[in-house]
Amino acid sequence: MNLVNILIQTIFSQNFIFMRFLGLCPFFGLTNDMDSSIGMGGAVTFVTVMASVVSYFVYYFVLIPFGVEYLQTIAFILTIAVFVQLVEIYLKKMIPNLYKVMGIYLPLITTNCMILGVTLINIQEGYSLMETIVFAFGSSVGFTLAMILMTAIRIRIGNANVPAFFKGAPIVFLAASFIAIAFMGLQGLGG
Amino acid sequence: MKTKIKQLLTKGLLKENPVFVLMLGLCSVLAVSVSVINALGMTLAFTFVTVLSEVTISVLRKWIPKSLRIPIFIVIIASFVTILQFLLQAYFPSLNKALGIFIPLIVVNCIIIGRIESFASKKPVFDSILDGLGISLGYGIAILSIAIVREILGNGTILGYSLFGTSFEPALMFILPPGAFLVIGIEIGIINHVSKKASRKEASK
Amino acid sequence: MKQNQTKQIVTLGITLSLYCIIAALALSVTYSVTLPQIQLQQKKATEESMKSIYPDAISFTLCTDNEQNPIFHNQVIDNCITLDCIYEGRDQTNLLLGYLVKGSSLGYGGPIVFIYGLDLDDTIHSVSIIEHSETPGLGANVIKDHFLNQFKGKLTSDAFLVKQDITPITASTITSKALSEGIKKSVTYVRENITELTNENEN
Repeated sequence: MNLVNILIQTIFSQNFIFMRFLGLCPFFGLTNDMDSSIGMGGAVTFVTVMASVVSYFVYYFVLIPFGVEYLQTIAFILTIAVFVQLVEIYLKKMIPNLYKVMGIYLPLITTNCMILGVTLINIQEGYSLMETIVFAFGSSVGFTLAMILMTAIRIRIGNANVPAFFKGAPIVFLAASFIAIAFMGLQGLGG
Repeated sequence: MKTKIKQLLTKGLLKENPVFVLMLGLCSVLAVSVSVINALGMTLAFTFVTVLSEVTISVLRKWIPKSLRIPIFIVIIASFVTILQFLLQAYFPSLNKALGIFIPLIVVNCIIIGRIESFASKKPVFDSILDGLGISLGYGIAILSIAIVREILGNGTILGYSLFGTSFEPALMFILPPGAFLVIGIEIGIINHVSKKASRKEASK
Repeated sequence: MKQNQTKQIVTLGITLSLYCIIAALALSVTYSVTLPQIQLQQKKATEESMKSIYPDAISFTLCTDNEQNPIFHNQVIDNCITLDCIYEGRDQTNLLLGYLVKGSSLGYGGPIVFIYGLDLDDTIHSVSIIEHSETPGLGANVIKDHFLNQFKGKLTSDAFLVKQDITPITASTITSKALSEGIKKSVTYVRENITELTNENEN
């Protein structure tokens, strides 16, 4: 499978939020204003790509040589947790401006199931290092796209007259459902 | 004592339902609820991991340094998830295949981490068992109620048995991802509506 | 103050590694206990599939070359498709009913492991899925009879083109393509190289 296909698929036709149901907690929890959803998207993109690369090396250069592939879940989640911690410390000291933007989202990222999901799928599909990077990048761009779409819709919903029955969470799920229908129309894109 | 047990076991059902009210752990709920049998399997897997992790952490709670608690929680949960994976592969391979990647992803299910952080790491073992069971019950009710609707409407079957005969053309949309969002949205709407009515009744008394 | 801090970090490090070591030990124990059962299950799944393809057959023997190595084992056909091995299915009178070809093709969620019967008159007997990790409700329908039955009786020279002679599973073109291409390419490969099979039988 070539890299462009992977990129298009992960952003659109196999979007992680709408098609694979991964990373839904921030999708419903954090999409109230544009700044925080873009901040979260950026933080997730950074951590997903880096964690995928690190977990690639952990799997092929540590777990396989020692014959302990079955420890992958535990190894990957620890990798992600440690990595998030390191990024937080580094940003705080070196790039305080960026830390101000992304800092509050970093602790939430450890339990974002999309990141662990991406690292596990990379291994399951046997992706090469380059494919791993593209897959991780594409899925986080897809995630960010979904966050931005949802935020825009929720701002509109805030001004709309929603029937009492659907007020609050239900209307948000319905909106997600309709976006998902639109994304289904992109099935088959990118092979 | 009895009321306490009852309260711990039933609070997850409606009032503090982890899925419908707290909106946690949505990923696995939406993804796995395509069929009732998958939903049942997921509930059992979830119960296994939640109860055992809560018990272990409750037992060890005095030996877990505060600054290391999150990594240690994650290691313990991940161990139980991996053990569960072995057991499923060995004894229920078809279920393991059906649930796929959502078994390892139990590790990052926010419900479990949340309960451990706010309950098991502070409370005695017995209470933690009950809390684990109660939360799993709430999770199970949520995932099953969605799966029943989706399987009947989207596939025309329940637990694999055909309900309407061969002439019935199921609404495939309910099995597909958009259907999951639609069903959970409407179910949350119903629950909000009912609980609002109930609280109004109580207020007028 | 500084010394205290280092001491604290060391204690924390030791505690965390202790937890990790205990966890790893517990896992390796469970792994070694469940491993034989897991392998048994995998073997059983293959055997059941073979039985469902040729119900009349009583023996399935792995085809091997002169050095007793399984032929076509892990033979990579293209990026996504791999052959695993070939079995001979024989009935009570030791008559060769056909070959069973086991291989895998990369689907949407991971490899789809399939096995199919190849009759001696160059037709696909029937197909069975041993393992897959496709999306429930979508690609997972790859195990449904109405999809798999389309391959029954196809000639090895047929096109196996999704949307032309194979109706895909609804909304799961990737999965459908993966399986039909997997069968087409593996069967072509086996046909081209099967002379070595028949020769062996004569020897």
